[in-house]
Amino acid sequence: MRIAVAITLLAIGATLPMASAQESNVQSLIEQRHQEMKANGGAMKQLGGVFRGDTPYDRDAVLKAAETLSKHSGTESAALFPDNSLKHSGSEARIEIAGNRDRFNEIFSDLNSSSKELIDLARGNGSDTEMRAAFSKVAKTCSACHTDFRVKN
Amino acid sequence: MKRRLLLLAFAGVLAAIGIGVYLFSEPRTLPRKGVNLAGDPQRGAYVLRLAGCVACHTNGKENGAFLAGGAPIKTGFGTFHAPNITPHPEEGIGGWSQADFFAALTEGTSPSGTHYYPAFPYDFYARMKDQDIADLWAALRQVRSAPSTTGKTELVFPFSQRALLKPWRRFFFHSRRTPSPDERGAYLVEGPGHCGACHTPRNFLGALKHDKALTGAHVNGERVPPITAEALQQNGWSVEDIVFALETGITPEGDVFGGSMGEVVDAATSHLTRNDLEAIATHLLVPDTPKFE
Repeated sequence: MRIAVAITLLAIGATLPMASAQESNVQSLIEQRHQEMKANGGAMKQLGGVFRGDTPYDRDAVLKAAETLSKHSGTESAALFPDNSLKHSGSEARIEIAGNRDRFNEIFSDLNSSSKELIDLARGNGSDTEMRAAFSKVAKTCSACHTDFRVKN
Repeated sequence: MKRRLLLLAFAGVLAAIGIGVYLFSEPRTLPRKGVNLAGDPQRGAYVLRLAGCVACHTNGKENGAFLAGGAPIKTGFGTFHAPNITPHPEEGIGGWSQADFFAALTEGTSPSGTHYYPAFPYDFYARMKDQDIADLWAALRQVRSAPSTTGKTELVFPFSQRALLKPWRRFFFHSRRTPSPDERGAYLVEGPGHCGACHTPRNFLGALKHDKALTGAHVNGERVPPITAEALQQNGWSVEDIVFALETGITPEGDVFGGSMGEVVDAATSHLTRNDLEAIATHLLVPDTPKFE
């Protein structure tokens, strides 16, 4: 009997650090995605300024912002939102992501392809209209994801 | 003495009946002139976006058929489902006449004579121009007919009693006396665009607080921000910022609207012409204009 209790206690003792390691892993994922989203927000602010006409048309600035977006998108960024990190305190990611993985991943990959399109246009000889169209595609992915998958408070 | 009391009681009962009849009867209204106007479906397709029909009557999240019924709208009164407005003969509005459509939009009255809850923003649509309504009707006739993809509206008692909408209308439905604003921006905001349906707070009976127009509210568990000229200016929004945000869903800070406004941008405002978006933004940014009657 005593042995059984001891084993149980040992087992619980062993899983505790595992659980807390998992917890800190989730925390760091949340931290990382917050940073990526913040960087993307900064890039969108920059691009918004350019395409609204508030700031002078600067191809290098567009390129830099588009590079930030392409870096923080695609499958790697989508992977920062595992099921056990949703509905977590300090996170605004909605639980619906879990049930709509395909769509969620698709939006992240659309962000990747549209931001790369913008990079190519900014590097090459893309016209203002073409760049604006590419930017619209980028904005659509932001809006789609935040509409369906971010908690509104 | 006894006789006087009896007389008083009789007068009281009469008064109560009178008040009841007054509250539960429909005020007499003049028929809308626009009925039997020829509509242009192409223009109507634009009005369909402008008036937000698609945003509420299509359940985009569940890939529901176009205009065959919307996602649930949860309120303190229960859950509303915007119904099927495709030409489906039983489940949609296939059996309606143009006059029925005018009555629904401008009077909040169904073909069978029952009333709509104010979750359907007919108090805004009542300000719509006849031609816009006729065009919208023409466009809806051409939508592909589909069976309903939406649940039934389920409200808590006593709000589940539609008859109570009659006294409600006596108190709160005044738009029938309001003409369409002339200025395009005012027309879009206060008429078809119905910004105030979400951005204006409502009282405990779900009626808009007109003296607090566009000062922000809570809808579907979301905080809806104020969009008065003062609030927008305080937050540094320019005409161009508003136009851009309504087009793209991106705020000047690089943030994203998301939530219900994300749906509005996707289904409605991103489809509008630049001129209309500028008119909306300009109107919102003019301080001290009465935003309602």
